[in-house]
Amino acid sequence: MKLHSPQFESGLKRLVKATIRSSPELKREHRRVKGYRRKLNLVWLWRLAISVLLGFAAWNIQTSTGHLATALAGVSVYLLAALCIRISSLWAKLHQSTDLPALTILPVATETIFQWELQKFIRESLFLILDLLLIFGALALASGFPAWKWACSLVFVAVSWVYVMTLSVYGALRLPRWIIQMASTGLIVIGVVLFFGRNAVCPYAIRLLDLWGLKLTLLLPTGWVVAPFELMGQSSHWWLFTLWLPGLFMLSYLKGWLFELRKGITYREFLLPQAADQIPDEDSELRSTSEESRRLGPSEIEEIVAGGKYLSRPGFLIRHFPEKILWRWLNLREQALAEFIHPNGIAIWPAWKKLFVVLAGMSLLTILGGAFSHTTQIACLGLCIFVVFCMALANLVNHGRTFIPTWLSGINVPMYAGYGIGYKELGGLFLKCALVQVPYLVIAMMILGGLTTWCMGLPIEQGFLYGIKVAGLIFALRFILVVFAFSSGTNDTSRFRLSSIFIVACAAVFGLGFLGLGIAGLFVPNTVLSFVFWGGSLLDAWILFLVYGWAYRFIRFDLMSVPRQ
Amino acid sequence: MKIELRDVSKSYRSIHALDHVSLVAEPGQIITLLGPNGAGKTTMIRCLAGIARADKGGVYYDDQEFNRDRMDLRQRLYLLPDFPHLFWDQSILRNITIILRLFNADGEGAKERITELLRDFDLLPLALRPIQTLSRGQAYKAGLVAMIAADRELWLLDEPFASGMDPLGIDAFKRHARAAASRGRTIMYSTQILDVAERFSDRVCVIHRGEIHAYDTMDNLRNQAADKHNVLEEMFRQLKENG
Repeated sequence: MKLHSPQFESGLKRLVKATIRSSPELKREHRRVKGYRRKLNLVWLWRLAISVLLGFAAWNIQTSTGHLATALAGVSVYLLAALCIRISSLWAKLHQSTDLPALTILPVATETIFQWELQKFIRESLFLILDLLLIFGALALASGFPAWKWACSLVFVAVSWVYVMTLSVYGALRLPRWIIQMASTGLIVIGVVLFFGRNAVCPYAIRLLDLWGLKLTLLLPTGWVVAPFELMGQSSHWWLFTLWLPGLFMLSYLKGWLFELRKGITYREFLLPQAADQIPDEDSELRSTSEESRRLGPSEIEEIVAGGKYLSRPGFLIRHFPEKILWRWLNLREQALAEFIHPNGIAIWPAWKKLFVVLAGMSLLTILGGAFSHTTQIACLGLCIFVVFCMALANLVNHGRTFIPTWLSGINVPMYAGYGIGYKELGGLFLKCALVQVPYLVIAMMILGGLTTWCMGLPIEQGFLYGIKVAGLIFALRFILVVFAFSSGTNDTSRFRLSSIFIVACAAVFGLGFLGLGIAGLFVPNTVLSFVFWGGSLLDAWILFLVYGWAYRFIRFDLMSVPRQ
Repeated sequence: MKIELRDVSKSYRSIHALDHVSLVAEPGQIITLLGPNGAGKTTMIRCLAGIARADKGGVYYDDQEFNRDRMDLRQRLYLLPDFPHLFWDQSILRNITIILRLFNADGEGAKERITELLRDFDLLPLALRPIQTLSRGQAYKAGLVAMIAADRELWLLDEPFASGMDPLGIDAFKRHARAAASRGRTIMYSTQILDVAERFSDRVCVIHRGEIHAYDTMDNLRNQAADKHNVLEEMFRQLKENG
């Protein structure tokens, strides 16, 4: 389905080009604005690389365990992640697509809009076929299948794809969005952890898969479609084919689900919420008439203005202890900046409270995991470390609205750049915000360190020491992330010039230096030397912050970036 | 096409954007919607385009009741918001071809007409660039070219003179709008610029707090005004004084 006529477009293109060629003035103008070039779309290459990686992972699981069931359990988990992503994507296409504002004001039937967005979703989902081709191909290769079994693998590819697509429609229709988003984020995070920590985590993950194997495949709905593939190997569980029956059953409902999904899409006006402080809403009007008698004399708004209440500092910043400390520490300018960055208030304590609750829960899970097996305990510990680390980093690196890109006539300008706000004052504010949180960070990391060393059977004091060092490194990372945040909103490295080379070289040298010194600070056995390295890594991050600040002031690159194509 | 608003009311929560508004517009006119910020001009345009559904009353085209699902009637009008809703990752040409296809207006002579319009609005050299790489004024002009090329019976424009267009673009728009009105098209646009409203309209509709305070030709409004040289300014002053 195409919304435009390709023949008409190509004819029009030819005519436009011929018109430009026929006029020297237009030709000159065309040459002048020709600087724009469509960038090479690297998404295809990335996606291909991921497919190859998935195929390799499937092959690796099977060859390392020798069990097809284990590899299929891995495929089931991957398909679950793919399913969650597909559901989110379908939902986003139908409700948040960038085409929707344009299509809703044009004379297009909702049915056509639905088909158009569904078509975009299916086109995007074709990559899943590539994934499945490489996964089943890798399994066939590792199992040494004859030609006819290779041909059967293609059937599995097709059936699995159709099955995931059907489930996606069902998921977009019935499942709450937040569950899908949480599940897909969690599964993506696990995927990233497996990739970057493959040497440390993958052996445990494969052992877990081997332990659960067929059970996991039967447990996950995405496993039902791949489970019969085991019959191609040594398995004699002929009943596995019955697992395709639910899929066939669901397929018979697909048309109805699509109809329901289409019915659920109703056009809504795009409205901004009404500012609560301007005009009282209906509820408050009702409250004012029922609960209080109407007053005569100056209105409440007039009283607020007369009493200067609107000039008082916002309540959010002094609600909890760390916010109170921070507010007292900030000078007037920084207080103004804090309100600009966090107009709804910065919530330091609630975020850390959430982290400590998660840490307590996951610590308990890790301790209980030990009752099953050491492998389970380590897996729980790994997950706990990852989640707590991410949460701590997110708490520390809260830029609010500072770097939100604002589209402005073909370019993106970060929010802060529209106002007279500088690098140094913003950096200083971020630093103070981070420093206030350091006690919480240290406590969280010490607990995590203690838990880790306890699980490993090492002295618990050593864990506390590691915790303090890791807290320091996370704090130092704050400097580097501020630099990256500033850099992302500029064109400092977009052109090949001396200043760009300087900035890239600084980022590479200091970034690698931070990494190297940090690792040495954590793992060098000599205590004094390890602290020297650790201190060096903190210094390294701070120097990068200063150097970029210098570049920001003197190189004077543009505070804007061109949107990605 | 005869355009009619019959006793239309529209509220956004506690704000009455339109309050029992009635209006009739005959074909071949340029109608200016004038009013202070938040007067209800954009809401009126949205109701006319089917984007907003009236809480009470209705919109009628040629005495047929209009709603969002009346595709036959929606085919006869074109809405250009102040910030044009376009396919931002697509080129100007692709945007125009999609829009013309949806209006069934990509038939005989369309290519030549579009090329001429692109030349008029200085967009020919930029025709193959994605909209998102253009300035706001250029993006608006792209939307305008699509609107003029589609040539519907009713043109609805929200704040075309505050769209970032250069003077040549504004001049080209005025020329095409005048020509379209003489072909029987109705052009309805909102603005805050009194000079533009005085010079570039057949009828002026003054809206304040969701109500129509005046709807007449400039000559008639001038006859009624005390200050003949500042008709609309005087009207605005009165609106403010009367609250």
